[in-house]
Amino acid sequence: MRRFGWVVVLAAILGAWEAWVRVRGVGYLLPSPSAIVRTLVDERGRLSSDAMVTLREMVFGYAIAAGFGLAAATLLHASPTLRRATYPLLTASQSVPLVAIAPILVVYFGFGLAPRLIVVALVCFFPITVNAVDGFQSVDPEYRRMMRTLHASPTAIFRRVEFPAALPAIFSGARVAASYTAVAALFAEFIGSSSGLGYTIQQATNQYDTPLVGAAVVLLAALALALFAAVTLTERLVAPWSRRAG
Amino acid sequence: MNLRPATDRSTDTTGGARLLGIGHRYGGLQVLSGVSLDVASGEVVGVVGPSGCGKSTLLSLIAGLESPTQGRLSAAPAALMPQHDLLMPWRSALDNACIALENAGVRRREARERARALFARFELQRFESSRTWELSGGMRQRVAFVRTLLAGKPLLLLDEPFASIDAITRIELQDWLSDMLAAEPHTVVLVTHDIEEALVVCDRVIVLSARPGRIVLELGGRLDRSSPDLLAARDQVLEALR
Repeated sequence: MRRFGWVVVLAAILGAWEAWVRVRGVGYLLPSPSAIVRTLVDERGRLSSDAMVTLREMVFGYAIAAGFGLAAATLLHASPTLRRATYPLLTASQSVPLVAIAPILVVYFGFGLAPRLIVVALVCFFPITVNAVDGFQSVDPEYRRMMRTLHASPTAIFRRVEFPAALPAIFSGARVAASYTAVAALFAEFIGSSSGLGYTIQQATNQYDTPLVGAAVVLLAALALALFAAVTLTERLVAPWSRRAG
Repeated sequence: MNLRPATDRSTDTTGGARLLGIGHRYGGLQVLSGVSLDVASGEVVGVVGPSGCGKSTLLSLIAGLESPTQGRLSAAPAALMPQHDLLMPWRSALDNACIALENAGVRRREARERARALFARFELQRFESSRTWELSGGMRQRVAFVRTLLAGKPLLLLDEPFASIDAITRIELQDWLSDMLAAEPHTVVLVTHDIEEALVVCDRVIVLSARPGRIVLELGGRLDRSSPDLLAARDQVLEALR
C-alpha cells in the first residue's frame, strides 16, 4: 500500500482538477482531465504520428549526444593538455540555457530534421561529457598503480578499469541528459517544424484548442518518462554493481 | 639543472631485489632515507614501521612505479597487491583473478583455465562466478592474492594485505599465507604495521623509523605465534621505535 501512495495523490489531484473545471465552467480555457482523455482517443491518428516524430528526434538526438559525448570524454581524459584547456569552459557551458540558443540554430541550419536533432544532441552532449570526464578522473589511483604492475598498458587500464569504474558516473550524466530531451525537442519544434508534438502544441494553442494541447503534453511527458526509464533499465543491466557499496 | 636521473633502476635477474642507500623525497618532504636492503630470491622480508614512515613508497620504488631520488636500486619484475583488495565489482571473482593474464594478452578462455586451477587449490572453487560483494573479507583477500600470483612475476609486493580484515580472519589468512609460501616459495616483500604478522609470516623483518624512514632494526622471523620469543622480539621492535 505504502508504495502506491502516489496513486492516491494523483487521483486526488485529477479529481480536484476535473471538479474545478466543471464547477467554474472554464472548460474552454483549461482542459479537464476527461476532455484530455477524450482528445487522446479521438485524435489518436494525428497524435501518434506526432509522437513518432518527436520520439525520433529525442532518441536520435540523444544517441548522437551519447556517441560524441563519450568520444569527447575519452579524448579529454587521454590528453591532460586538452582537458585543462577545455574543461573549465565545458563545465561553465552547463549554466548556459541551451534551449534558448535553439532559435539561432534553427535559423542557421534551416528547417527539417537536422536542426532539431542538433538542438537535442547539443543539450544532451554536455551533461554526458562532463559526467564521463569526472568519472574517468575520479577512479581510485591505486587501481592504476596496481594494474601497471600487472602487465597493463594505458589502453588496458582504460578498458578494464577506468571505463567500467566510470559507468555509474556516466549513467548519472545520461539520466540528466535523458530528462532534457523532451524539452529540447519541444523547443526545436516550436521554432522550426511542421510536425511533432511541439508543433501541434503551438498550433493548438493558437486555435484555443486546449484539450489538444493537454493531450500532446501528456504524450510528451510519457515519452520523456519512457526514455528516462530506458536509461535507468540499461544501467541496471550494464552496471548492476553501481547501486552497491563494493 | 641536472636532468640526468640521480638513480637508475635496473632489473635484478636473480629474482630478488637490491637497494643501496635509497632515499626518496616528495617536494620538500623526505620520506625515506639511506635504506639499504638485499632481498634474496625466495626470501620473505617483512617491513614494519609507524604510519607514514614510507613503507608504501618503498614498495612503489621496488615496483618501479616511481624512481628513488637517491641511491641505487635493482629489482626483479614485481606484482603489487595493494592495501585494499581493489577487486573490481564489474568482474566475477574468477575474472578478477584473470586480469593480469588478460593484460598480458592471454586469451580469456585460457586465462580462466589457469585461474581455475589456483581457485581449486585455495578452496575458492565454489566462488568462481560470485560477484565481489558476495565474498567475505577473507575470500576477497585470497582472490586478490591469486590475481597477484597470476601476474607470474618473480617478486610479490604485499602492501598491508590484511589491514582491513577482522582479527580472527587475519590470523587465519596469515597462517594460510605462510603455508602457501612454504609450499610454493616466492620472493616477497610484505609491508605491515602489525609487528606480530611480520614476525610470524616473514623470514626476516626490518623495522623502519618514523619519517624519514630509516632501517633501525633487523630481526629473524618465522616465529611461532605462541613462543615467548615472539613477545621478546615485539618488545625489541617497540624499543627500537621509541
